[in-house]
Amino acid sequence: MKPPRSRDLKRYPGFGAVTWACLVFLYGPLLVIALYSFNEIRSITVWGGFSLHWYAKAFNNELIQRSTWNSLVIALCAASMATTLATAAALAVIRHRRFRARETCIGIINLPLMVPEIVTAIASLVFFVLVGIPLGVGSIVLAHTVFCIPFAYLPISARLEGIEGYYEEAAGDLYADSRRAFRHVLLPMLMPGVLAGFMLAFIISLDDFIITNFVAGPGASTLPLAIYGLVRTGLTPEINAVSTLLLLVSVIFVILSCLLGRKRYPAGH
Amino acid sequence: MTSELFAVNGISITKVYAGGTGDVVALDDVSISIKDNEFFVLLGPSGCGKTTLLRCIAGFEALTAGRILLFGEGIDHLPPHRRPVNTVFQHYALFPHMTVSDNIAFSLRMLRRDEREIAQTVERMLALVHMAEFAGRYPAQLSGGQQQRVALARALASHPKVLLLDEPLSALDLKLRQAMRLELKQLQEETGITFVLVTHDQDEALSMGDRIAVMSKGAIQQTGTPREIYDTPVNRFVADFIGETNFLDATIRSVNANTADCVLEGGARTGATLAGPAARMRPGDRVLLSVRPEKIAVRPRQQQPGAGHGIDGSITRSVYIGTDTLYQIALDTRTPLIARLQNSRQATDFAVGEAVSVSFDAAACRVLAD
Repeated sequence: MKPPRSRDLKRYPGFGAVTWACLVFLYGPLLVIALYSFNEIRSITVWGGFSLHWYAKAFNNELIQRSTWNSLVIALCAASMATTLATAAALAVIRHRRFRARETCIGIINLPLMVPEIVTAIASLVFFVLVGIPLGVGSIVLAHTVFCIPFAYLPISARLEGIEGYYEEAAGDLYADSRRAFRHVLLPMLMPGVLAGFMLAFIISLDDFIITNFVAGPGASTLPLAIYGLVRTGLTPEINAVSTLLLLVSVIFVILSCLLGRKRYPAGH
Repeated sequence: MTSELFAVNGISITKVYAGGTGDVVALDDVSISIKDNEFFVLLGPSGCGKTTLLRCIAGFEALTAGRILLFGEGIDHLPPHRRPVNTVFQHYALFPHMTVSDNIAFSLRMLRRDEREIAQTVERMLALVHMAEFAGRYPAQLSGGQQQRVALARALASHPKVLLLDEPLSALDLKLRQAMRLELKQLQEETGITFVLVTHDQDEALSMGDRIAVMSKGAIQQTGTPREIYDTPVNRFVADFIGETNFLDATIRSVNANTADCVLEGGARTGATLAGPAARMRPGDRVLLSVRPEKIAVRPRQQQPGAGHGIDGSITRSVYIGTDTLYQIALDTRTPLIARLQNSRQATDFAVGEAVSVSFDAAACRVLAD
């Protein structure tokens, strides 16, 4: 049903202008970056014709190759661990309503979303040094796992909330112990949420700069760190090309994650 | 010990839910005996504890006190997956990511049966519920009635000792519901499995149940065949919940074997049956009588008021409903009464306002225990 005209948001004065302003400020810069990645000349402000050679250059840059590989490995590891932990947390929090510290637990799981990232970054660095964990890919994976958990938790818990308890009861009733009920009934039903959570965590890890910058230590560079390093020696369309690719990967993952989160079972004919 | 081995024996079952605002007693010292190969119905309004009792038998709820025996063996310490009883859930709970066949095969796979045997059983079950051509469909591709059949087949596949059905027809539309009643009854007879069905629908209970337990406020009010429950309700709740009835205040004058001679308000006299828990009533006790509308005879009023067993009144409303006519009658004592007369050939029509005399047999009039 449509809301009554007088309360229709679209009819508020300035609605159109504000909307367009938001869209332009959000997506304009991204469009410009993407556009100039195809620039023939070295400028990132003057258009000199279409070319793909900055992409070729980026693909052949050894620093970018190495850091991309690092980023992918780190994102894969961190997202896997975060998804596993988030699934366990969602099961504990949502399926055991009685347990006492429930609210506190939800708060703690989601805390990394609220804490300023720079604080987490410094705290992680100090912690790793204190405990004696060597800085490098390993420490980055650990740090990423922690802040990826709330992102993985969101779609998984949303999915789990939507699964009525009677499916597990039915599984139990039909002679499945709790392990097999989880394996054969709950997990397959939860899977779209788990995959969505994994993809979200993967992207968050892939994009991270601040925490990574602190806990990377010397030598272990990720793609965002590499881009930052390149920018300091001067902006070239090569950076635009790498950024555009990273943007593309992110967009694809976010779209997939959304689609999976909405996935329903086969219906109709 | 009883000589008969019951399918389900519930002994003093109590279930208390600890709540924030205080404990809620869902089942209060309930004892129940369900016979083998019986279609047993737990009937009652929502919140009466019938579903809780079913869930206790299935193992989804732990008892606060009491015991449950399945064919003589205690099962109350067993988790649901170790109890040889299966449930048909109110919302079917079919696994949405599995086909109809895989849903039906689920319990057999969990019991690690041989795959060839599983295939045969699934085929037999599909035929039993007339769903053979839907084997490869997913639950979301089926109508409500079809999902219901799959849920039945899935629950019956492992041939449980007892099948529990939690309001299985409530999600279906009226036509389908009535057709499924017959099918359920037939299925029970074909399989020979004890069915325990929970419902709040008295028509469902009366048409399917071999025996019915009427529940209210966490306790069983009466257990008996549909005829016993309808014809000889023991208390006001049962009389009121099952079918329509008239309540009359009366005082017992004398008791002769099973029949009490009662005086109604206004002085009219009638006989009434004393049985069951009401048998303890004594002359002088104030009691409540129950008379079904179809057991009441209505005649034009005699010249001498109060003659014989007639009670005087006048018609205040008449409603024609096809096979019968309902008459609303105000007794001279102002007590309202409803009579249901069959529209047979000789039926007399009564006009609104007409003075009449109503009467009923002592056998059709029950003294209620409370």
